[in-house]
Amino acid sequence: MKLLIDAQQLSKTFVLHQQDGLALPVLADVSLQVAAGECVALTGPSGAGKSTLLKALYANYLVGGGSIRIHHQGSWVDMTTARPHEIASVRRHTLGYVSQFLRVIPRVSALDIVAEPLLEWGYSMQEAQQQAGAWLARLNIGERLWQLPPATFSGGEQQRVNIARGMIAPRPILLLDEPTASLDAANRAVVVELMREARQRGAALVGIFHDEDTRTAVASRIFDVPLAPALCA
Amino acid sequence: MSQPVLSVSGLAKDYGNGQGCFDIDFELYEGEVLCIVGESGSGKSTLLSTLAGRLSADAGSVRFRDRAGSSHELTTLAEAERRRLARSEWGFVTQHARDGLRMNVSAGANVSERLMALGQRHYGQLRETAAQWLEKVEISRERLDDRPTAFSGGMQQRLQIARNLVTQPRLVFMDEPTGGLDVSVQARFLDLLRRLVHDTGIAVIMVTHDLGVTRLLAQRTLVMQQGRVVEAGLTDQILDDPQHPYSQLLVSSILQA
Repeated sequence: MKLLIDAQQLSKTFVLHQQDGLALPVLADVSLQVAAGECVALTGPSGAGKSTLLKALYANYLVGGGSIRIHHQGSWVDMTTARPHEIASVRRHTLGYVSQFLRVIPRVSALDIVAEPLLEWGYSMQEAQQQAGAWLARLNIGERLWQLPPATFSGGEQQRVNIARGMIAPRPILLLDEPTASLDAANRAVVVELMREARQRGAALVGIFHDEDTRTAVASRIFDVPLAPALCA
Repeated sequence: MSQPVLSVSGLAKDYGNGQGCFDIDFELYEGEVLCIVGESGSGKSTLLSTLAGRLSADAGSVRFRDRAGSSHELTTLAEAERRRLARSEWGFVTQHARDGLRMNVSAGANVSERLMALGQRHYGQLRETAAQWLEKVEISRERLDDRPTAFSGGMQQRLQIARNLVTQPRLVFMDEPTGGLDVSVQARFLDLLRRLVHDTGIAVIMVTHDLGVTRLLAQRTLVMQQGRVVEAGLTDQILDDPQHPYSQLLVSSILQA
């Protein structure tokens, strides 16, 4: 079993300075290890910190304590102490994040948005665009839309563009924040299949899947995010 | 890992009376975009000008690695050498295009000037390169012989960007470059800059008020308040999980479109 994520004793408290320094503890002493080929579904009641944990693993949120070691190009990088430049490299090559929301520069075509991660991996423009087209087709984005910027697309279409962009580069670790939310059954099945394929190529997946069918279909293990003690009260 | 293009430590510019910028530390690598955000008077533009050697530093060090791999200490650099680097290795896009353009010569001459300074003399080639750059910034090549005085403010700003980027500098300083642009042109500019960063590996330091621009373009952000960096880190971390009271205020004040 090849470990790719080793997070130990994570804690996270939000301090809201606009609210007189109100402190909201969300994670306390959370540890999670994920190996290649696994898909861990984060579960727990709303507000338990599923999203916070996922974002902390991506270094999008800063943790207050603990370590997050990511296996990156043959060595371990602790995301809690790595410099921004190193985190950027881990994200580019090792650690992908798929959210529900597409945030991109306006006026850039869907095809270019999806191709971009491959360009960063050093693919030629032609090859990157060819693969991007294949991903968009697979996610049922019609070819007539490829050259258009996704700003005018429907919510579901934008989400699928985002999934293609997040999954096209075969990164060893994928973090998925409700990737199938608001997709219809047919597209949900495609995304489930894509996640299975990612596992088969040896990727480690950690995700939040509110839809139970999706969870059952892709998850190899459930991780119940423990409530921070202050929230239990 | 590669060496940083720019290494800044302990940099200060002290105007007296508490104004200026103080204790600035960061490193910038090839292909990185760093945004400096903060309210007016927080020292953003002072920092930018001090980094670029337009203002003399009062303390600290700014080390720049040129294309050949040689390191230069910018705070003590002789003026002639600074000018040479400014022409060949970096660009400076000012907030007001009129400050960064030569208003009494043609658009084409504005774009060609740096190429000529680097020794290009072939008139036809210079003209063609200038025309291509006008098109990249969405100005018709038919305007090549017009003076910038005949351009709108937005066009002048785009011309200034073309003038600075034509030599594909290694490091570009930008002071509120999108401030005067229509949103449609701003989007085009963001896309252009993103491509240039990707294709040529230039590093960019940009002062901006616009956190939307910051999110889309910059991997890294410095938040300044009263001349000091109060928070520094990955852009998405600072925008999604700001730590400092001032960063929280800034982020919570964004208008959602």
